[in-house]
Amino acid sequence: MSKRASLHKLSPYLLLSPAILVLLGTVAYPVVYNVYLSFIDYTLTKPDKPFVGLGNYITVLQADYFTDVLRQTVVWTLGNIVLLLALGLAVCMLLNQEFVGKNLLKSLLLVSWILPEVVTGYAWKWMLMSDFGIVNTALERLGLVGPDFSWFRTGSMAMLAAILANVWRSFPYMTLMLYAKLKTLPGELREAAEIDGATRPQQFAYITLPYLRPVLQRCTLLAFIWTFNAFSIIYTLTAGGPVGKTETFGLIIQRIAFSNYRFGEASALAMVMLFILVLVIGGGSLLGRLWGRFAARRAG
Amino acid sequence: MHPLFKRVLTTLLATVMIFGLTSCTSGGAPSEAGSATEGTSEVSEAAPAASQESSDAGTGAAVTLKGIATTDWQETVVKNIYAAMESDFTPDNPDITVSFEHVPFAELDKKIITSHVGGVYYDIIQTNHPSVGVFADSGIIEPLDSYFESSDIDLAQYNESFLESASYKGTRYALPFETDCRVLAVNEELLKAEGLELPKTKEDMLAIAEKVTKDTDGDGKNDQYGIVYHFTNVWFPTYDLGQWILGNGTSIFKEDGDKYTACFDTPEMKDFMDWAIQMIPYQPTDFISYDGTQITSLFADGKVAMYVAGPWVFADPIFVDKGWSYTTIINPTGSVKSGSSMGGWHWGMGSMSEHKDEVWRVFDFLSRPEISARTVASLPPRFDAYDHAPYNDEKFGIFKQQLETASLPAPAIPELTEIAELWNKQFQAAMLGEKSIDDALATAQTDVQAVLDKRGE
Repeated sequence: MSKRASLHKLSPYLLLSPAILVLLGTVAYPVVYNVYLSFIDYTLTKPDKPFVGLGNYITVLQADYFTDVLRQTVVWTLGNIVLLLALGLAVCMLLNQEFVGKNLLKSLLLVSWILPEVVTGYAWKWMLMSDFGIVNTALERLGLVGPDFSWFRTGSMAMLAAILANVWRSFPYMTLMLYAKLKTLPGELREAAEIDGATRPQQFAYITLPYLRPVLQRCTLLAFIWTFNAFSIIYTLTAGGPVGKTETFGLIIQRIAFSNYRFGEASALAMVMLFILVLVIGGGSLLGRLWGRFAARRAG
Repeated sequence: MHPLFKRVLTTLLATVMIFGLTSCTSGGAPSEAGSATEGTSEVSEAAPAASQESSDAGTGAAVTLKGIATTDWQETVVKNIYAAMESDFTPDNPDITVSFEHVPFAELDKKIITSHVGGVYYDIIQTNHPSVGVFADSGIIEPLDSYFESSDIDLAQYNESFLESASYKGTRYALPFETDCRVLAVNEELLKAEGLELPKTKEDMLAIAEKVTKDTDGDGKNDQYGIVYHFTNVWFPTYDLGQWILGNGTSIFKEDGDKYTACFDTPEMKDFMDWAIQMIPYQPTDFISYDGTQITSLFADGKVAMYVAGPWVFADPIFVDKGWSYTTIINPTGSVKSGSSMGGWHWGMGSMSEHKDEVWRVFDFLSRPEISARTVASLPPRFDAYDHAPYNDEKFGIFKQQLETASLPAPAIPELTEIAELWNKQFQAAMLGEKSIDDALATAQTDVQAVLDKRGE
């Protein structure tokens, strides 16, 4: 083989090497090191760091907080996904209509998306405060809540407040993704359906939704990853309170690692979190494929 | 563009990127004697490189002692120390200078421990009081008993509890340097309007809270309150409100030799919780989400009768703007005494220091009452420092008085943060009515004792 040919063969690898090096350094190394830490009793305040095998995993899975945090993370994640997709889809359908100010609305939609999570968290915290929050004052004047109503006194209301804040911040992304896909829907399909006498809901159920399904799947996946891993917005809004009722995996890992300095336990918990994430994404992907085959067979 | 040129160009770019990445990593590596870890610390401008000079030990040459302190202290305490040394230390000790490296508060212990493990040593170490045991166990700081014995530092001048926190397993490991304690600030105008006197006991506080909490503008909602609990602060029931645990003559856990015992199952703790829960109705509706700034603002706006104050209030921008015009009193008593919780910082001597005698000369200098008063940012831990400026000012008198009965809220062990979190969770559960006081205290007793037992193992 000539020198030139071998160089030609090597060049893709050579060109990829910077990116691979960066990924190895910033992703692979931390992940591998995290796996290593999860088998060590790595407490920053203790001089000895003994190997404990699965000890950290057992500690984490048997901890009092584990089931509570798992349940709260599931509520947080599902609540967000459902509302994000519902609101995203609803606003996408609205944008598909012709009305005055549509372009302005499309631009304004992005405002909440580009705001940092911390800003959203604090803004919502202040807006929802009973004593001087604008939302609470409005709700009170409308007679919807009493003067003693508080969003943050009970776990369920605090969780709802956190979900609402996050949905407000994130739904424009879903809207724009879906809207971009919807704009490519061939008009003939709808016209043919109309000629065949399909009603608006039928058109939505049998034409629009199936057409949006691939994007909806991707949006669901992204919403799952983002909300499952979320930290800043809950931290600024409730800090996991009251009484730990809004504490999710992200928050408790931060607390165990950087407040209690138990890096080994926090690493094990991070691995458990990663396992759940992979399991759900893998399961979701499999279900998606099965559904696709089923739909294709039914159509065929 | 010619394909060959394209290929050469991309290869060149890739090579440049690889070199760039390589040099990024090598450029951040610490030098032999402890330069900063990239991104977490910085070396003080006034500080010359310490490593080479430190190697001149025993030759009579000039020595630069290498210190580590928080970034918060860079423009306050450390600046004061440089100034005090220049005027009062250097003339007698021209061979000794000190150079501090600064890291953020949250990084300090991590940096000290990892540096020591990595063979980077400091001569002077800012030591948070709960970290004395950790640094002692890890061999990072030197026992100082022999130094104290041969010095004329008057230990009787120090607050006993804080002095005790500089010891570990019966050995003195650090020089107490800066402390704080809390007193009660009272808006006397609100009290006068109700014909009330300053509170002397915690029951008086409850009576005041009940009287002053009201709707002043007639909108159907209270807008004037007795006190506001800082629920978003995990340390609140340990430090701020925890002062009335100390006032009841107990603490969240106690040390007895090598054994630690949680104290939540005591009548004193039950009494504290009964009192704390009775204060709840006299708070803003959403007190649970108030942060420190909101609480301070509310007090500064004249909407709150009582406020837990530390020496930091004099520098708080809110009070600097509005002026400090409140009455400060020593904390109303619990069932036993007027308790006040304190914390603070010590100086530790690096065990691997090659200049221990020089370090001690600096420590000896910093311990002098007039130097202590000139250098600390919060409160000096020794009583005779209050005879010197700026602490001889009237406004610090109450803190000196409170310092007589102030103590650490619990023994300073590394697990204190975790214990405070567990306690805070149960405290909140009881205050919000999610658990009965008995259940919350029983859970706190079990959870905290488990942490303490694990420490024993």
